[in-house]
Amino acid sequence: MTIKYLAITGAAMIFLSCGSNNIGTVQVFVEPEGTITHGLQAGDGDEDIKDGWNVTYTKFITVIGNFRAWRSSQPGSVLRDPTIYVVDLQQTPAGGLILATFNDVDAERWDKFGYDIPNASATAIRAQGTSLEDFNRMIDGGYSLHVAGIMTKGLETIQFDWMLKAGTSFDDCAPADGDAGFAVPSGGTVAIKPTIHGDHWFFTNVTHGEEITERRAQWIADADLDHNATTTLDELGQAQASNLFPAQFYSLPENTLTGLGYLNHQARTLGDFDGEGECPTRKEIP
Amino acid sequence: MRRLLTITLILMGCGDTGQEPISRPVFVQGTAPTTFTSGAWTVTLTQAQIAFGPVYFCATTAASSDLCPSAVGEIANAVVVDALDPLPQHAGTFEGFENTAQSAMFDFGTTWFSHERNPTSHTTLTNNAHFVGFAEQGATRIDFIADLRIQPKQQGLHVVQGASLSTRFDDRLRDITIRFVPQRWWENVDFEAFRTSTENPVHITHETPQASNAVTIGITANARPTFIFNQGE
Repeated sequence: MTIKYLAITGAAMIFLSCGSNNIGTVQVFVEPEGTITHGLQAGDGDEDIKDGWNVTYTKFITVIGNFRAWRSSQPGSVLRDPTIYVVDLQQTPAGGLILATFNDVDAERWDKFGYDIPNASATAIRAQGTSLEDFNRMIDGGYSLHVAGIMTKGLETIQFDWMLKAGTSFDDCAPADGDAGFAVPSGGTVAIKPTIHGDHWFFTNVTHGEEITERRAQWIADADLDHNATTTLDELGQAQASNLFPAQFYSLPENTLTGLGYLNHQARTLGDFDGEGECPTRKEIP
Repeated sequence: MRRLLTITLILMGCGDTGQEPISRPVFVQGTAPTTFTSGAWTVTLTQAQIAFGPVYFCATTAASSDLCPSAVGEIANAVVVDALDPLPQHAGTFEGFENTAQSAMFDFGTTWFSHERNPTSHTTLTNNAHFVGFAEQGATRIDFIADLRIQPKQQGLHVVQGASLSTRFDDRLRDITIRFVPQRWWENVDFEAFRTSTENPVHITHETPQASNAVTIGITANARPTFIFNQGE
């Protein structure tokens, strides 16, 4: 028996041992960031809003699904659940809402993981905790996101209620620390958590990777053009970017002419992974 | 250069990757002076200088300081561009590796790398952009001078991150030309606000927020410099 033969045999044994005998389960939870359930506070902390505004959300509904994963080494073997859900992120159970389960998955690292936040269609499913009224509104309008809330600063109050069509795919998801994707334990279950963030429209730039940014909310108040304490999407569409975003604070993305343009850009970045991890490859989907 | 050295070391550490180093000249090119409109005003720029660089090209669609260890090339230096000169001006050298780039991140002459305590200027321009011009409406003429600071907002950031592009760096690449259209940067300035100004010329700085915001947003977001990857002999 030559050394070469031994090497080939050994490799085959390793390969076999990584095969059908070593399998596990993948559970996909969707989890809201704390900002969605607990709001944002004014302050000087890293996650606080720097310009004095406090924010409370009264509604935060998203469309999410089409979870998929594969291995770079075996791109033809794909885990995919095409189901799309409408989820009220203020009504998810503590610990997250299970939206997909993959059984008998090879116990290896699946380095590619992605999902969609698409515009809703009639095939979407109403997730646990989501009211029929909210579900129908998302389906009828073909929206990807419905967010409403109240901002306060001293005696000043601004309300907003926005329904957006900002369908986006999110891929190459990776935790904040460690390798991309997830590892499936042999005989066990890995829980992976696409995480929806609730503060990106308060960012002063569009982040890629680590969230190096500040949070500011004054631009939403400044876009209340009729001064009736409510900032509408129409007003955001009329408010020029140069009147909302001071150059000393903001780095705007390409083609940002109005406040609505900035909101739409940021609405396409909400999909993150395992808390503060990122899904840096984002593409608009119809 | 420090970043490219890091990239080089990473590549060397991975053995022979088959990626050939590429070095090519870089040119910057402005747009000849023309009259343009901004609202109801007719505007002419007579001077438009802007600092530009460094530039980092990334293999990923999402460029960022932490994702760009996969950078595939750089223009390491910064230059002052005469943005009203339509002739190509030599502006340095692209150094990189044979690969595909899908995004870029860049600054306007001032960087704030993680190893820099404060924003650091790399050109002789006092600020990052300097303009002289005038706006006319009927018999009314407003002369203006603008000096704008365009710097990274936080340590570790670039002014522009994740600028979308798609090109392949290989032996077919002859040079890179970066085009500037300064007239577009001024399209959304509200000159009406200066109609009653007693200052002549009007000085546009960060203390005149609408105008300085509009021009800065033009430069950094809505009419960014464009990269032209010229191929052939």
